[in-house]
Amino acid sequence: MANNTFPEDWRDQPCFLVSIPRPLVPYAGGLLKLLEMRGFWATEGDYQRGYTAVTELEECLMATCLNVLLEQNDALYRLLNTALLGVAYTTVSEDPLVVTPAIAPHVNLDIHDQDSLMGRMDRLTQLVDNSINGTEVPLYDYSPSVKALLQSVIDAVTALEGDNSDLLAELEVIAGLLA
Amino acid sequence: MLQGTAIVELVWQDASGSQAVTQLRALSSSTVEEIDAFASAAASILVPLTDCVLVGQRIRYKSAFEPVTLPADGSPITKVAVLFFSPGVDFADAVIAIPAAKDSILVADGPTAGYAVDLTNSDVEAFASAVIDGGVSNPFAEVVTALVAGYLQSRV
Repeated sequence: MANNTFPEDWRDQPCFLVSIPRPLVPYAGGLLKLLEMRGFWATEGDYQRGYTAVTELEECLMATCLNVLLEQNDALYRLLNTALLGVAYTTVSEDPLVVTPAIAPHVNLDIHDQDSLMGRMDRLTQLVDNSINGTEVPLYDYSPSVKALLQSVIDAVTALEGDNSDLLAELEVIAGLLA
Repeated sequence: MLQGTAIVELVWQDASGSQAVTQLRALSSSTVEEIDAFASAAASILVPLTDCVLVGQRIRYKSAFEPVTLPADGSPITKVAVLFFSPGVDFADAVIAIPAAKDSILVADGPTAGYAVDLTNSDVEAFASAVIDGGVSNPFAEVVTALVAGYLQSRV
């Protein structure tokens, strides 16, 4: 009979992550069977603690830990993809976790929702291009543009009688700032 | 069918730690308590005859199946699906091993394909329900409430 002990504070002690090649998992897990035996441990208390720890380890070898890590990794990917580009995900089932659409091998810069971070930046860009420069954009069609209106004002002031050179100079400065 | 006798094993140990067994038989119509009392009485009578100390007592009821059917072609008994049933957080798991696991109960896709047991498989779910409803416990008499993991292990 072996005389192995197992500490009472084992749950408070640090854990280590070990990477095991998939084909080795059945053998690594099977070898741990020895530690499930009462005869391996010195006392009933050691047996209960040791058995609990080793079966938790066996449980983690393939299923739990890797799944949790992968799911958290996938969740982070989806968080970024939704926040940045507005891709909408749906949870089809919780256990096992199935989320659609599946994570693609790569992404492009297509904006799926204008309320995403990139979508809001795109809206701002289109708004500036359209309202100030008069550029044709999908989301806005302000007309005339600020620059066109300013040019109209400059033309009108130029046509007025009298010395308006100071006012025209100020308007030209504004037009230059918008260029 | 249940065989007519149950096997009683008295486990003895000498000073070197080596163990040996005295085997007796009792009628299988007797209850576990009755056979256990018989075994304890037999052991106490044997003590004056041996320098060993009694370190264990086992009672085994045996069933035999007739006619014996041959298994169909399939995976070998070394391919063991081990299922982990939990009584709850911080409790020890109950481990149930199924030899010659069918490929159909294994996960088909992803990193665990061919190794992990598909816990959503209908046959696996039916077995898990039967285990949980049947009051199966871990070695410390804590009854399991959920199937939490399963994969192939080399346990034979």
